Amino acid sequence: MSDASSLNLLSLLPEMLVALAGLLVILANAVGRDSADGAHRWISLLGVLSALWFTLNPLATGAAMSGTAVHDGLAMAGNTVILAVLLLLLLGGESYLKSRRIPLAEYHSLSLFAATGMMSLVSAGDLVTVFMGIEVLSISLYCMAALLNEEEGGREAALKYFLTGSFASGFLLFGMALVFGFTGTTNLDAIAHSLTSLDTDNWMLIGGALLMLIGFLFKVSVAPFHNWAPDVYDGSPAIVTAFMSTAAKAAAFTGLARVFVPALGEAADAWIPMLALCAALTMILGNFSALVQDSFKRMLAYSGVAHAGYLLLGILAASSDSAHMASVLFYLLPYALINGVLFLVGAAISRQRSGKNLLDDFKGLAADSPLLAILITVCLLALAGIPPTAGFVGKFYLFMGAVDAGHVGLACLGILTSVVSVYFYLRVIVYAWFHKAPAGSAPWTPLDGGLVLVTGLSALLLLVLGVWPNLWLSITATI
Amino acid sequence: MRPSDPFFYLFALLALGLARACVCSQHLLRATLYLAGVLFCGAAFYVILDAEFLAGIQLLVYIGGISVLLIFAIMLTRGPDLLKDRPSPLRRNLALALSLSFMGLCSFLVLRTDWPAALPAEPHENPVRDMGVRLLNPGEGGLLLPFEVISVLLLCVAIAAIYLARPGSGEERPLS
Repeated sequence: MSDASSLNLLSLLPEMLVALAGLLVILANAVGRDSADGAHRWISLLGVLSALWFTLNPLATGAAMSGTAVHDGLAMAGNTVILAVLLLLLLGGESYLKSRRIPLAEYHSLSLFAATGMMSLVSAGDLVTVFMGIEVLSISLYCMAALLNEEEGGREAALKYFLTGSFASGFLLFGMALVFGFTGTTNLDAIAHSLTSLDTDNWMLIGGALLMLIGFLFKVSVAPFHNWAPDVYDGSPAIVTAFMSTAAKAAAFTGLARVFVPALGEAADAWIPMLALCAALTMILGNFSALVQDSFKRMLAYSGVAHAGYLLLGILAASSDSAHMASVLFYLLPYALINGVLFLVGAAISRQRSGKNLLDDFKGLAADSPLLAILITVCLLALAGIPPTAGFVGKFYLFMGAVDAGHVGLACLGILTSVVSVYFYLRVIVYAWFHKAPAGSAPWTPLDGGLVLVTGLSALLLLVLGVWPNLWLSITATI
Repeated sequence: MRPSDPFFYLFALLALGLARACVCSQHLLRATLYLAGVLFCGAAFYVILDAEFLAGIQLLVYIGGISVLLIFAIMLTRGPDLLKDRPSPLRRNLALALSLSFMGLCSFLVLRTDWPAALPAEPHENPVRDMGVRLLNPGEGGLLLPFEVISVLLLCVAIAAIYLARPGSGEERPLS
């Protein structure tokens, strides 16, 4: 038995606070019944804010629980992104939750538990923790996707997500088993250590790494494993889509980086060709599929696929020089904030028009609400990677990293497909500013003040990070 | 050839045959029974590999739990009618090609790997005890944190199952 210091429980405080908040939400629901509706939100807010505080000002860092968790810069950056998204949805999502009659206790507790899983994943120091983190986040999200299962597409989305997710978990586990068989350990540090002395030109290791990669690529919706994403994003409640397309993706990417760059870095020759091929395919398929979408949610889903491709470039760069990991982590925050804001605001705008999340719903937005039009414009320009937004800085670092690592062709492809993406982002902006609202649409009712305030602040943060990237880069570069 | 090898091949053939019968059966209940047979062969493999504990788990959880659950699910729904539709030839061939390529990949991995010549020959006196100690040990080599995360997982599953099973979840619907 070890002494208390090697447990390092204090470093696990953020995870514990979030899980505790989830438990308290359930308890509040059991005790307070219908009168507890406000309490769910306050408990969640308190849990998330305190976890965010202790993430940014950790009481302890380093390995915890004998190396099954590691709280380093990577975990800190990943946790910050996850908690920031959760905070955004908590502050801005209240009106959506109420208008769609989403059960509050289930939504809040499951989102907190999903966040617990994500945080265990980003700070995992062992393949077993990686898998458990992924399963907790996936199972919570399967159920969250089904929160509106009475609606058209809701059930299909949840089932599709469940089936593809389970399939991915199978691949992941099979891969982990092979890597364990080869190295004789599941600890990520020990795997990295044993690969320095073993011959990495072994098919068991290569097969294990590739199967694990397939599992991860499914989870982050990278082509050719991305087909589930548009249907699931489209059929799930917008607030859940906002959560799974941002926080879950950020967590899975951080997990992918943690498993492949430090632990399997010695075997990089085995997985880099496949990763490079998938990155190219993802950037092309994601951007070109997004061109032809009529639904805002589906367009964002394909744009999310494309962005997974850009982020893979960062992982490729990090595999040759781990300093480039900072570029992946840097981009995760603006990416998560933009998509969180766009899904929330898009759903609120669409409710005033067709209610079907169509691109046409944005027509005439500037006349009805210039403020929202500006907000949407800033977010879409940031996604397109146009200065002075954080989206530009993020993409710049990713592409520069790829060039540094010798993937010049991929970087060029990234820039070219980004140019393509400008078309479908601009289309929404043009609809908002230069088109008239369709005849017969209902008079505009102002959106919930909290939603506008918190999304406005997020957009402001995008501009601030675009001008002063060091604010966030100084945290991500501490790895 | 070890004395256990004939048993291995016997159960492997049995598992293959049952798996084929399970996939190709048009009757859901029969498919479930074939599946239970495949799982039983899995338990037999574990016994051959000296992993009695895993064999016990396989019998208890998969055959005792999951197969019975499946049978209940089929009996409580209109199960046997579900398999009326026949997959199109394209889907059949695609599935066949995918399965064969995955089999090819696995065989390739098995055949091309330099398997460690000698396995770590430390017979565990009491493997179940060792496993329990590892799961609940916060010290070196312990897996206490993942074990704790499992409890969060189970809680999520319980919430999800109750929510989805509640009649008219999301909207109030009178019980009739």
